[in-house]
Amino acid sequence: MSAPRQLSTPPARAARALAPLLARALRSLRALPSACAPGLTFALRLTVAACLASAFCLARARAQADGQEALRGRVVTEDGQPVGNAQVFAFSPNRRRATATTDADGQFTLRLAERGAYTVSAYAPGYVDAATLPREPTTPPVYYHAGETASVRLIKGGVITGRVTDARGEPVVAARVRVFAARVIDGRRTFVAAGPPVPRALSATDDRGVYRLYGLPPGEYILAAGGESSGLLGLPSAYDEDAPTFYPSTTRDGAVTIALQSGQELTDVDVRYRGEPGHTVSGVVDTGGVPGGTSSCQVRLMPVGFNAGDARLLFGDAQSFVFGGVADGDYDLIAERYDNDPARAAAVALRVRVRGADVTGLRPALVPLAALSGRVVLEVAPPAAASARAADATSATDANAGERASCRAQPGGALVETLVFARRAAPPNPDQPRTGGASGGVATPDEKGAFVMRAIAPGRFRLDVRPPSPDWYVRAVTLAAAPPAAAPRAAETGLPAEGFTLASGAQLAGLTVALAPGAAELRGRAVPATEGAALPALRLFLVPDERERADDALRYAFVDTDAAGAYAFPNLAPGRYRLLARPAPARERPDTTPPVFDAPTRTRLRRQAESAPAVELQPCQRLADHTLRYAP
Amino acid sequence: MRPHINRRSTRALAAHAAAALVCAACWLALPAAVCAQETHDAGTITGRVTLAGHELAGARLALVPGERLDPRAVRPVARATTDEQGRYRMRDVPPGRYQLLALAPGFVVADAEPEAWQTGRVVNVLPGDQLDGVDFALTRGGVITGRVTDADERPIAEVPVRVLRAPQPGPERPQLAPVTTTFTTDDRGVYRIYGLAAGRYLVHVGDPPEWITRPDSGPSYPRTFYGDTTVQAQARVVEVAAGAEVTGVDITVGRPARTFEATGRVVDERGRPVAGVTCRYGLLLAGGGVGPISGLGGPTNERGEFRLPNLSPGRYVAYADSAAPAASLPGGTYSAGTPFQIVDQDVTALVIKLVPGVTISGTAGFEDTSNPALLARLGELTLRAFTAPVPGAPELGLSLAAQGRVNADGSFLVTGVPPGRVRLSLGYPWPKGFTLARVERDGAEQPAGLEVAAGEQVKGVRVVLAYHASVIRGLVQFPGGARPEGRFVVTPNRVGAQATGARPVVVDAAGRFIIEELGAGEHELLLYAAPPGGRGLRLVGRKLVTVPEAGTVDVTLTFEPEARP
Repeated sequence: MSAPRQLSTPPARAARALAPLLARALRSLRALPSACAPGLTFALRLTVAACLASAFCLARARAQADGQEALRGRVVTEDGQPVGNAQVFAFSPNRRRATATTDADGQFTLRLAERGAYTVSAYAPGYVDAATLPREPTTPPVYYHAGETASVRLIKGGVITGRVTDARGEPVVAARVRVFAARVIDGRRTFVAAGPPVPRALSATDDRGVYRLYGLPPGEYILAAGGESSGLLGLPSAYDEDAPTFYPSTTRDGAVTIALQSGQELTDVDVRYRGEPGHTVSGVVDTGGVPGGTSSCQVRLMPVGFNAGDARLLFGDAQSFVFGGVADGDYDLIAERYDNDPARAAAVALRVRVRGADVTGLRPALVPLAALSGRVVLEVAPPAAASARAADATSATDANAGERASCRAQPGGALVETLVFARRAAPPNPDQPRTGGASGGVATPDEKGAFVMRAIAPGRFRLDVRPPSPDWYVRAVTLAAAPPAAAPRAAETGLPAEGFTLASGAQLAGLTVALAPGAAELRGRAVPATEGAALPALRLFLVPDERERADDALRYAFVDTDAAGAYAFPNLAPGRYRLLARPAPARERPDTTPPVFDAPTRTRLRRQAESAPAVELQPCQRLADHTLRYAP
Repeated sequence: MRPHINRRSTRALAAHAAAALVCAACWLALPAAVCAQETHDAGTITGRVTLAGHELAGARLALVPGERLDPRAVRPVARATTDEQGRYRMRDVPPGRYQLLALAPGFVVADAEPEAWQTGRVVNVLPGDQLDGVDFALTRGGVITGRVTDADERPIAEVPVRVLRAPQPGPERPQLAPVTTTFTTDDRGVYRIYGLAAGRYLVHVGDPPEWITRPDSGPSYPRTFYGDTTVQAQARVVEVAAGAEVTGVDITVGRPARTFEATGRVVDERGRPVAGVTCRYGLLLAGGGVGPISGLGGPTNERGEFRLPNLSPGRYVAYADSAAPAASLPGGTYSAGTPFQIVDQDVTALVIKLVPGVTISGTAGFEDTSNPALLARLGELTLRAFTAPVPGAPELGLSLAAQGRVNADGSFLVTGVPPGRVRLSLGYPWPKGFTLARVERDGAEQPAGLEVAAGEQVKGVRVVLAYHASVIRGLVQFPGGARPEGRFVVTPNRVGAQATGARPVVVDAAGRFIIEELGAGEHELLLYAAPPGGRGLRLVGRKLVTVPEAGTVDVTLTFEPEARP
């Protein structure tokens, strides 16, 4: 019997002496040498001392000591009315969370246990958080820091209600009713689970067969009644062995789409229940030799084309699973376990075909997932020293070292507010079963700059870093030459700034993300070159104009214009760029795998940008009123 | 029509005793179903389902193991659907104790087993049984529906609405409120509770204060009964006739109670913060001890800080023990309770101090060490050490637990045990039939628990295990064949044992019962009757039975209405 492991327990347990303010300063002192990388030069040491004395470090220490780690905000409806009694949630990538309830004026105060980057969302019955509506996949969620003000907008959700009856017209009682919303994911139409996020609002028919689903965002839905998991807490129900009946009275493939407008109440969406027997899908999860066996392993069965399905959690030493009421069709069976211990995180996926009979004897064998770890370093050193250390060619721009460091006396933000994303660089193959594990990662570093992302499915990724404030830019992303001996399998890697491959079970350690102060920013608006012409949605690329920067993938950036043609490139390295405009990918087939700036892409972009307008950005410059004239 | 046992199965009782012995042995390694297959002694259950006297076609039934709800084993071993005549048949049922459920959520089963689920009845299947006539007479359940609003007449959505049986003088047929569904209000504040047996009910929203069920967020409404009162005695009773619908049972709740939060730090003995600790907290009850549903706070951050939100006024205690879910206490520590009171503001600067607990070590083993199959399973055991009350603040009435594993060689170590009177028990789940027989310290039995002083390291504790794999299969005979109304249960008492702790088993409609996991030796079986209405058990039969080691005994108990107490 193996001891159950908590999936969410933070591994870090530090017992440090700390009398409030002094201790904080001490910690900064201890953290800095590591934050400023090994091989400190004398000049760098001077900078460390200077930083310690600087207002930046002290201000940060004071903010923590005063307990100012709060995030305030307001929850309002589309027309600006406050929403009282709404539940507000803040989540950070390192699984810190905070909750609050709004007052009658919609105001809330989230008290954060720790500084960091947090997403903020709200829930009120019958409403939908506007930020959760289907959006461009390249639009990242908004992260907030302590002291900032979050605004959450709720829109009135729609309602779908009706009655489920059997062939004799009798009500079908206590049958689960689910809706699946149509979305475009990885360029393919996919159905995802929809409805109130809170399990206590799981919808089932009452004794008259009546159901009522509310709080639904506008969109297209298909609806199913019955099937397995109709009973609460896994208690048996009358419908467990039935294949679900889809609206109006059909199988999954024949489901009729229901279009729901914003805030609309659709009534009489009645289902004639078929009560057709489904099949079972069963088997045993093979530990595959992964430490921890199958304990706390979750097994999911999802129809192909659905990002939703039934799940089983394996308790203790259990290895076997059974899904009942499975209709004919193709499914992905995914067994996976997330764990703080990277060696125990594992997953496996099988494609299962159900055709008129039970599928038994499946034996998915767990395969270790990958992990990624490293450090974020805030460089307060003169960049000349920093770039020499990184074996980076010293450039004309870097000659402005002193200017860059001094153009803003106090770069804002704290190290722990940096966000590091690993984003998938290639779309999954729809003909292959989906992989278990996370299809990417997000992390914030701890106070020493260390970050880790666990349980990542193998694949090709690019690293995306969001600095803690507009004052920083990503100067370099490097990988320690020799992976630690602890790594069981070497990771096949490319240059981390361009993209890298994580093999199954790879434990890629030793990434270093160097952030430098003096970042510039470019904001502006695209207008048609010919007055009155229509302006299409654009994808803009920033391409470095300096020869010696041509191969630095970090100097390349892209953004899609919003409906008004506006664009923003924050956290840019100072320097000269060209701004290239291309038509954005079609909205109905959004490109979820944005460009990786590898060598061929860089060459192509530089060639395309030769005649594009140039932009010169000085250290700390915030160019806000740039205008791009677009001619197709 | 009463169920009856087919002739064939009476003979089977004796014929399969030997097979059962084999089966008992293979419990060690194989699930019961496999045993049944190997010995070809699966049973069959048949019966009829009626609704208000008419055959009900298409009704579904499920057979689940055990006679009480066990969330780990709710997967049915068999299912059936009634035909056009309302008849069903379940084949290939492995011998065992079951509940047979009519999966009919809107309906009420006239004589459902009160300890079972609402529509269930206990069925004991013996090897080769054919149980016929296990019938279900369904009636349409009653409905209570209404709307929940706040003081400003705004609907309150997504709050659970619960029903309690109204206290009532005189005999009363025990019927449980439905458990297979949670009833909550929808976005309009409307709720609809169905499947109710005829009776008098109290309806309420909100939870009692001693339940810490919504630690996270959301408005916290005081428990409010129909009749718009928070006092149960003043609640209005809702009378539901058989199959009737009572509408307009509207409840107006008061303004959400203002809640407060308590913050503090978890520190070690020297006052240094401890990160990553999950602490527990709960409402202190008037007579000491913590309310039945406690909350979890934390995990603490790097500064050891925790925050306990959404607290209504009252007296609370916060503490940490290594048995808490997600506990991550530094090795071998615990904290006695830190009491605090919420009056009308937040409470700050609470300190939960982790102190080193006692270490208890020794060996666990069987007196009879001849069975290698049993010894091989020692490594599956965990030992739980309970200290009650925890010294330091005895008025809190707090009991804390620590847990440790037993190694394959039987050695064990439990750390972080609060000093005081410590009782050891087997941690859940333990292998079937394993029992802790006694605990010895320095060769002396410690029936009242180990007395352990702070700072003491207790070594050489001997935990003596027993393997209880014997089974009694019984049949209750009713003289003249007339079984009175009401329920019957059988309790096994081991002769000579100090405390039994044995749970009664239910006598099924065919008069049968099965008692498992018994130790060898003499047992007295006590037959009790619970009259319709369910109040008070009456002794109506007894019998002494000698049970062999890991064997099965078939017995007959006779119903004696005038049995001597």
